[in-house]
Amino acid sequence: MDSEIAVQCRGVEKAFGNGGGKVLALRGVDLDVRYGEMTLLVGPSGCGKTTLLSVIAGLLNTSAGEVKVLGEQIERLPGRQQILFRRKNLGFVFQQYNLLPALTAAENGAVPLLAAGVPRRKAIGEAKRLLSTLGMSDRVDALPKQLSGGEQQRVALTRALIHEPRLLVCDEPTAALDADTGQAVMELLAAEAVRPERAVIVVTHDNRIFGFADTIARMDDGRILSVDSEPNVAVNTQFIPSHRVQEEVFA
Amino acid sequence: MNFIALKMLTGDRAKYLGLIFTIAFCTFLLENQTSIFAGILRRTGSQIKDVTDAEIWVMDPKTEYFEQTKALKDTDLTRVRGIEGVQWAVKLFKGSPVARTLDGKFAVAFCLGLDDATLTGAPRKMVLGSWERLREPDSIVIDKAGYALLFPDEPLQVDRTIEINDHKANIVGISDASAPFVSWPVIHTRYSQAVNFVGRERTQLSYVLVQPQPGVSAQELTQRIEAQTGLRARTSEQFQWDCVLYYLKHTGIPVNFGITIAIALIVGIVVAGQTFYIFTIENLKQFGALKAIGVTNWRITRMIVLQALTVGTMGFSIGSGLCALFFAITLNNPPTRGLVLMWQNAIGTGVAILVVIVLASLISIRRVLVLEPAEVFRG
Repeated sequence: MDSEIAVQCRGVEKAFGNGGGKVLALRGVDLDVRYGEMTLLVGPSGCGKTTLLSVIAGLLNTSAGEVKVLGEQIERLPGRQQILFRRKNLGFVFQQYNLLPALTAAENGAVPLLAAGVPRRKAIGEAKRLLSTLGMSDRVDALPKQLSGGEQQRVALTRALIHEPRLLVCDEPTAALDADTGQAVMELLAAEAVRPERAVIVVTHDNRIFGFADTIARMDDGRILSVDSEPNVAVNTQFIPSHRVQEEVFA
Repeated sequence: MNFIALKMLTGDRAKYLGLIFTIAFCTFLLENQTSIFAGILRRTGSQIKDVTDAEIWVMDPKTEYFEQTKALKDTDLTRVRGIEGVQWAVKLFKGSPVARTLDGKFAVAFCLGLDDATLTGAPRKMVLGSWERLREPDSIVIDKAGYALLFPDEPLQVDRTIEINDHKANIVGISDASAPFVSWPVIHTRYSQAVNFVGRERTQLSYVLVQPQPGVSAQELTQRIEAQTGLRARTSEQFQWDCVLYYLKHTGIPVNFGITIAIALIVGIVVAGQTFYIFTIENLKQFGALKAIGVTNWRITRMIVLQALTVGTMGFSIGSGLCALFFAITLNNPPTRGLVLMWQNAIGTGVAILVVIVLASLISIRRVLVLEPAEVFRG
C-alpha cells in the first residue's frame, strides 16, 4: 500500500560534473522505504549510498527520476519551503556527530527546536528529558569534548529525534564507534526511533548492525542490487574489518 | 539561535580574544591618531580662538595663516574704523622674540601685543595673577606651559623677571592659553610694549581686530572691509580654518598621519577579516549540519553578523576605553595638553570599525552560503 510508503524513489539518477568529467553516482535507483521500519542501505564505499541518502533528505537534487518523501516531491518545493519541510519532517544522525563544540549536550539536542523558534528554556528542557530517556541524565551539561563517542552519538540521536520527525536518516552512525558502543547506539535507535509513524534509513557498511534492519537494500555502482524485506540476519557484535565486511556481503 | 551564535563565538576563546584584541588595537590606533591629528591641526588656530573679544581679523591680503604676517600700515586701522558697520577696531601685534630667564634658559616665544587702551585679546583664562596688571610698565602674561618650559620644576609664581630680546619683562600673570602649534611660550603684553620688545620693522601692525556693530553680521562686514580697503578680512572661524587648511596643504602632517591611519585600517581589516574567516571555516561543518537540519541561510547570516557585531562592539569599546585613558594620562603634559579624544573621531572610528567587521563577515558569510548541506555527509 502506498500509504505505508514513506520514501519512494523511481529511476533516480544523480550526476556530478559535466562533459568528460561527468560521474554518474546514481544510475536509476528504485526504492521504497516503509513507515515503522528501519531500512539499511548497504554497500561498498563509493557505491552511492550517501548520495542516495542526500537526495532522499533533499540536500541534493536529482539529475533524473522522481523522489517522493512523505508524499511530497521535495525537490519541487521552493527553496525556503524545502528547508522548512526538512526542519519539520526530517531528523539527521551523522557519522562524525557534528555537534556544536561550544554547546552542552542538552543545548545540542535542542537545536532543531530552537531553529523552529521554540523558547530556549522549553527546548533545552525537552532535550534534557530525551537525553534522560537515552541514559544521559547525568551528562546533560557536558560539552561534546567531555563526552565519549557513544555519548556524543546519543546526543546526536537526541538532536535527530527531539522534534519527532517522520523520517530519520542516519549516515554510518556506528562507523566511529567500537563494537559494544555501536551495538548500544543501534539498540537505542531501534528502541527509540522506530515508530509506526516514522521511517528510519541507515546508511552503513557495518555488518554488525545488519540484524537491526527490517529491510536491507544492497547497492553497488549507483544501483540497488537487491532489497531484502526479511533479512533474517543475526546481530553480530564481533568486529570485522570493513574490507572483509564488503567481501562477505558482496561476494 | 542568537545564543548559539554567541556560544559558538565565545567557545573558541583564543580566537574570540584574538578578534577582540585586533579590533581594540585597530580602534585605539584610529581614534588615537585621528584625535592627535585633529588636535594638532586645531592648535594652528589656538591664538585666534583665544581672542574672544573680536569677531573679525583684518590682515595683509597675502596672509594665509596666523604665523604668516606682514605688517599693515597704521592708516589701515583708521580706514577699517571708518567702514560702516564697524563698532570698534583695535590693533594687534604678533612677533616671535626670544624669552630668556635670568638663569640663561631661553626659548622663542609667541608675543602678542594688545591694544594699550582696551587690552582687547587679553587671555581670559588666568591661572595666577591678573591680565589687568598688563597696564603696568614692562609687564607680561605668560602661559602656564611656557612658564614650565622656562622655569622647569618650579612652582608658578608672578612678579618674576625675564628678558625678552634683551628687554626686561615682569611676569604679572600666568594664563591658561590654548596650546600653539609649536610648543613655544605664549606671551601677552601691551602693543607698545611688544613693539619695544621686537621693534625691527618700520610698522608693526600685524592684525586689526574688529567687532561688528550689533545687527551686522561678521560675514557681511568682512566682505565690506575687503571691498573698501583691499585688505583681507576673515571671521575668527574662517581664519582658524585657513590655518588648518594651510598646514594640511603645505606640511607632511596629513601624509604622516594618513599612513598610520591607513596601516591601522589595513591591519584591522586583514587581521580581523582573516581571523573571523578562519573562525567561520573551522565551524563550517557545524554550519553545514545546521543547514541540513533546516536552519535557513538568512538565519545563519544573522548568526554570523551577530558574532561580528559582538566582537566589533567589544573591541571598539575596549579600544575606545584605552584611547580615552591614554588622553586622560597625557592631557596635562605640556606637549600634549589639549589633545583629547574627540567625539567626532570616536564616531568616525566606529563607522570604520563597522566597515571592517562588515567586510570580514561578508567574506565568511559568502563561504557559508555557498556551502552545500550535503557536504556534511562527507565525513
